[in-house]
Parts: sequence; structure tokens; C-alpha cells
Amino acid sequence: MATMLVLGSAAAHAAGHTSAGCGWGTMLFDGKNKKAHLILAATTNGTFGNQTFGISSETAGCTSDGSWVKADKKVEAYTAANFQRISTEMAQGGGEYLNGLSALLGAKDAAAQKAFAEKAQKNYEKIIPNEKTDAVAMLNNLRAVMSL
Amino acid sequence: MSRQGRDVRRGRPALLFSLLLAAAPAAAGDYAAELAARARALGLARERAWLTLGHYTRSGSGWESHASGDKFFLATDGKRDPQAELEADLRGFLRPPEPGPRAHPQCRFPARYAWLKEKLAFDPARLPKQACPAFAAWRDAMDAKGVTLVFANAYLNNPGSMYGHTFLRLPRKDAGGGEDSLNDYTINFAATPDTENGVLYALRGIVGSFPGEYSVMPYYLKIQEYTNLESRDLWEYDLNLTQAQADRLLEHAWEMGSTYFPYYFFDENCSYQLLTLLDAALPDARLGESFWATVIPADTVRAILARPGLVAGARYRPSYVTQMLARRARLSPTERSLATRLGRAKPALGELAALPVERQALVLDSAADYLRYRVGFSSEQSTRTLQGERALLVARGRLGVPSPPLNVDPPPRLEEGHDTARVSAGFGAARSGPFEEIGWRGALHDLTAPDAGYIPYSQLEMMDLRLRVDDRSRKPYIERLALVDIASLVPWDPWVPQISWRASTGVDQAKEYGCAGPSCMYYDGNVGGGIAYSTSFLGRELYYALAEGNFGVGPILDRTWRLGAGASAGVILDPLSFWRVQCEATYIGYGWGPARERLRLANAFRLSRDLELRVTLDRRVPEREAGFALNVYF
Repeated sequence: MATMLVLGSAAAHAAGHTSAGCGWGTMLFDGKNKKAHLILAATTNGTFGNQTFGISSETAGCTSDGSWVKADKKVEAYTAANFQRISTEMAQGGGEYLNGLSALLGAKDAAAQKAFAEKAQKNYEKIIPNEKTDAVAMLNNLRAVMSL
Repeated sequence: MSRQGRDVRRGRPALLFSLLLAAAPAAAGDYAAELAARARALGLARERAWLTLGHYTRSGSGWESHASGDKFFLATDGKRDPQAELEADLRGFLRPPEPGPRAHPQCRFPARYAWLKEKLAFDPARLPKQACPAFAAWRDAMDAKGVTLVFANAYLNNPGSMYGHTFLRLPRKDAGGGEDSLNDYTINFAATPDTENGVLYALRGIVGSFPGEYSVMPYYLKIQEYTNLESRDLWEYDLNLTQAQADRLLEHAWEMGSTYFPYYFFDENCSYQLLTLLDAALPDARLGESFWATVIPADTVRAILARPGLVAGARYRPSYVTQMLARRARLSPTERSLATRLGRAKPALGELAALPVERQALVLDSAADYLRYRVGFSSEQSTRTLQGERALLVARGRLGVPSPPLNVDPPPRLEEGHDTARVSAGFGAARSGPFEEIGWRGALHDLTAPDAGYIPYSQLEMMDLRLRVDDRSRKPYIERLALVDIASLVPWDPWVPQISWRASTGVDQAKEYGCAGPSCMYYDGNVGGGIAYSTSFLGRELYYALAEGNFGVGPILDRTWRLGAGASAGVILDPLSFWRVQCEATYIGYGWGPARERLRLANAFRLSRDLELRVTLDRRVPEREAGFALNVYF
């Protein structure tokens, strides 16, 4: 093990760090973390970069003026990142990703989440009318169905 | 104090300005000196809590901090002088406010401030508390009421990741009684690998060529990364921390964000960093001091579990693949065939109608699992794929029944697995006579060992050294020195089609030449790829076949080197839970010199979690030997 420790120390890189804005959560979204971008791209393509509804430092973490995300942006970020799972669980009448969304929309306890999931399943084809429905449209339709 | 600060910046009349300059620092300086004297009298700079907050460890006769950024220290020699840093911090806390959201020392070092305030009972009139809006906003966004340690097991088919990974999830105060943990935040320290290649990952991990970075992100993004994209099962361990301890941890996390820590795969890795973060909350637990626990994340978890009362509960969170296969296991053969066709977007919805509604729901759920896994998790999909997926979901929604909860049986818990370092002693008989052996292995697990707590049929061995003495040599020689020996045998599944592979390199004995001893050593490299298949006649069995390429360099070899190709085939059985048998045959032909013909039968008997007996028969033409060995994991 000693040999490996020496090897490790000798060749290790030091990672630089930015501490601007509201803290170090910013660095995830500042373009340096390729993996995070890959995940976001893999899960949110199509809505990524959209002016009204992208995952950006403003929606997922830190705002440019140094404060943290507001609640309504949180809903949008969550929906964009988990769109496919949410859509599937709506058809299935429940699930963890759908519960995470209903909690953000105010359904905090188990009974409210169950009712939310039942209503989403019943109205699946209204909330997701066709295969082109994206996260923005889904959230709008969902809000209409749930009268939020 | 804050009004004075603003006045100074606005450039009030010169008289007031000079008065302030003269008076305020003098008073502050007096109080700083007074506090520093009290701190010295109390010996605060030598206290465990202070040394932990500064990440100091012994270095020769003095101290040195692991933190590398100069922003982490206010004293010029703060990296090496805990006392000087403490006094510089006290002076800093007394400074008038400065522009910039994080500039004031009280706001940059909230954990140090809180600890020193408690120890020295700051007089608020002489050392006013500064408003720290940026830190407060960050802390409020985290909204942490506790801390959960999350352990990510290895990737599917990537034994290089067998060390595992740890990060922290922060359960929120505002979570209701429902299910809502996906919206929690996580604190993560990780290397940023830029390769998906298992061999490269392991090799580059050794030399530490990945940079280390901290990040805070919602748990759902970590879930996407680990359980969906990388097919890793997670274990969550709720830690028994008070609100005050959780607050202290968060304050210190904020401080650590102001600096950087190099990522060393073998000591200062994600585990080490998280342990030191936990130490800030629990300085007396001294988790960061246990060397072995800081090396390998899985050992970290074992160390934490071994502390009585530190873990309140454990939860298993299966990966997407694990859930998909668990759901499929509930289907009958006919239903499974239907789900397979539906998952491949073949028109078969008409066949569903014959089934009861609950079975239709199960088949459709399973088909949707498979379709999404097959095409990948990217939302950039062809219209045809999206239409196929939508057809399944619309049909599923119209059934109007909820899916029953998918309770996946957890695999043996991590703490049931053996520790990762190993020493061994053994003896045996070879063609040339009896031999004795001692061995030491840095890490981690091999295919012959019973694999409770590990990913089944995965091997990651690093620095495996076996020294042998026999009647011929009379002097110890290297029987084997594996620098790296990786294997991943993944049972073939039509829904999860994965190849099996292995790779190894190190010093070996060229027994094909009928030799043994120091003069028989050479350097070997081997890679193989193929397929594995599992059955469950006797519990579980795995069969595998691999095509292999091999090279060697050493004076014993004809022309001092050789290159060859061949194949291995084997079977791994678990006749009893504590007994594993591995049998493997290999043939490799070389461009010149004798071929490798080998038949090996290895038995491992698990006597206790960390004690194992090995009985091995090894025929490597023209040599043959039988041996016993006792392995102790620690």
C-alpha cells in the first residue's frame, strides 16, 4: 500500500475551485464539470438551453445574484430532469418520481400524494397528449388538470 | 460596526474617517489580544475540534493541513501553524465588514466562528456578529435536519469501481409525511473521471490523475447518475446526529468550499473527505484517523457501522436494472415473452386482453422498463421509439390501477463482506517438493472468495504479493505479484446483454518451462473477453468462456519475450453458503516456446467474515502442485 500511496501523491492533480456567487454549489453548473453536464444533457435534452425552461445555474442551484433557487424554479428543474420517469409513473398511477413532483407542488403527505397520482393516471392523455409533449407542456397541462 | 463600514466606503468627512481608523482597530486589536491570550491559556489550538476544522495532521514535530488553497487560512503560515491561524481568525472576526458576499472571515469560516465563540464566550458588544446573507441563503436552501451517508456500490461490469463511492444526503426539515427524498440536497466529493474504460479507470485511479471536486446537487441528479446511468445499487445509512451537529457539519462544508483538496485515490479520496466532514460534527469520534477506513469507501461504511449508536437505520435503493429484473422475475414465461416483444416495440398489445388487469399492468410496466433501458436514458430519441413508449404508457394508464410497490429483496449487506486488505500463510507440495508461502494483498476481492457484500462474480485485486520458499531455492522468491488483476463475469441476459472480461498484469512464474524459483520469474500481461452464463441447480452456478491474448517479458523466455493467444473456460459453484469452488482450464499457444496448459481447481471455505481457508490444485504442464492457505482479511 505504501508504494501506491507514493505513486498516488506524486501524480495527483489538484483541482482548482471557484467560490463566486452564493457558494460552491455554483461550480457544478459553471461548465467545468463535464459529468454533471452529461447527466443533465442525458436527462433533459430538448428542454436544455430553452430560454424559458432550461436547467441552468439559475434553476438547479445558484442564481447570478448569489441567492439560491426559488421554489417555482425548483419545480421546473425537477420536471425537466425527471421527465421520462414522471411520465411513466403517471401512467402507472404512482411512484417515487411522481411523489417528488407532487411534494414540490404542495402534496406533502402520503394521502395527498396518492390522490395526486390517481388523478394524474386518470388524466394521462390530457397531461401528455402526444409523444412530442415536452416537460414544459406537461407541467402546464398538469397544473391545469390539478387546478393549481 | 456595519454602519461604520458603510460610512467608510462612502467617504464621509475626513475627520470622522481618521477617528474611526484610529479608534476601531485599536479597540479591536485589544480584544483580539485578550481573546488570543485566553485561547492560549486554554490550549484551544491543540484541541481535537480545532485541528479537525483546519484539517491538520501531524507532520514531523509539527502540523500540516491537507487543505491546499490559501483562501482556507488567514495566517500566512496557517497551513502549518494551528495557533497562528486561530489568532489570525480571531483578528479576522473583529474586522469591520467588507464588500463582497463571502468576504468577511465570520462568513467564510462559520464553523470556526461558532466553535471559538462557544469556547471563548465572545462579547457581542466588542465582537459583533456579522450578517452573512450568502451563507444563510445557502444553509436555508439545504434545510438540513440530519445527515444520511449514501454508499454507491460498483458499476455493472466495471470492477474498477469496486471501491465504491460515498456521499452525504441531507434530509430536509420541510419534507412532509410523504415520499420526498429526491428533492434533498447532497454533498459530494469526487474525482471527475473522463473515461468509461474500466481498465483505464482503475489504472488512472492509482496514479491519481483525476481531479477532485466538491459539488452540491439535488439527490435526484445523483440518482440519475448512479441508479439509472451507471446501474449502481445504493445503501443509505441515517446517522444519529443532533440538529446542532448537523448545523456544524453544514458550516464546515461551507468552509471546505473555500479551498480545494487534491484527489488522491488511495488516501485523500471521497471517503477521507467525508469522514473529516463528519469529524467536524463529531470531533470525538475521530473517524478521519482510522487509516484503513479512509482508503476504501466500503471500509469507511464498515467503520461507521462499527461505531455503536452512530447509524440509526439502513435502506437499500436498488438500481434501475435491479428493479427491472426484479419486476420481470414476477412474470410467467408467456408474460415474459410478451413483455420482451412489447419492450422491443413489436405490435403485440392485442395479446394482452386475455390477461387479468393486474397481470396486464405488470407486463406493461415490465415492457416499459425494458424499452427505456434498451434505448438509454437520454431524452433524445427517435419518433418511433417515443411513439412505441407512448403506446405502452397510454395502454397502461387506461388500465386505471396502480402498480403494486416493487419491494426488491436487498442483497447481503455491505458489512457482511470481508474487509479489503489481506494477509495469508500457506504450504503445499509441488513436483519439486514441499513449499511454504506468505502473502499480502492491498485490495480487494477475488472470484474464488465467497462474495456476500460484493458484486457477484467481480474481481479487483491490486498489489497481490505471494512469496514462496521451497527446497530447491532455499531463498524466498516471488511466486506471484499482481499489480492489477480485474475480472468481471456478467451472466448473459437477453435484456442486459453484457460481455465478460478480465485483465491482469504483474510478475509470474514461467512454469511452462518446467522451472520454479527466482530464475523462473517473468513479467506477464493478459486480457480476455467472452461470455458468461448462470444457472441455479445447486443454488447458483456460473459458467464462462473467454478468448485471451497474453504477452510476457523475461530472461527465462525464448528470445526473452513471447506473445500468444488462446482461451479459458471455467465454472464457479457455491455448494454451500460458506464454500465456493472455482475450476478453470486454460490453453494459450505462443509464437515460440512451450504453450500454457493449465487446469486449476480452487476451493474457498469462509470460516468467519474475515477468515478463509483455501485449498488449491493447480496443474500447469509440466508442473503440478497442491496447496493450503489461510487468508485473514483486515
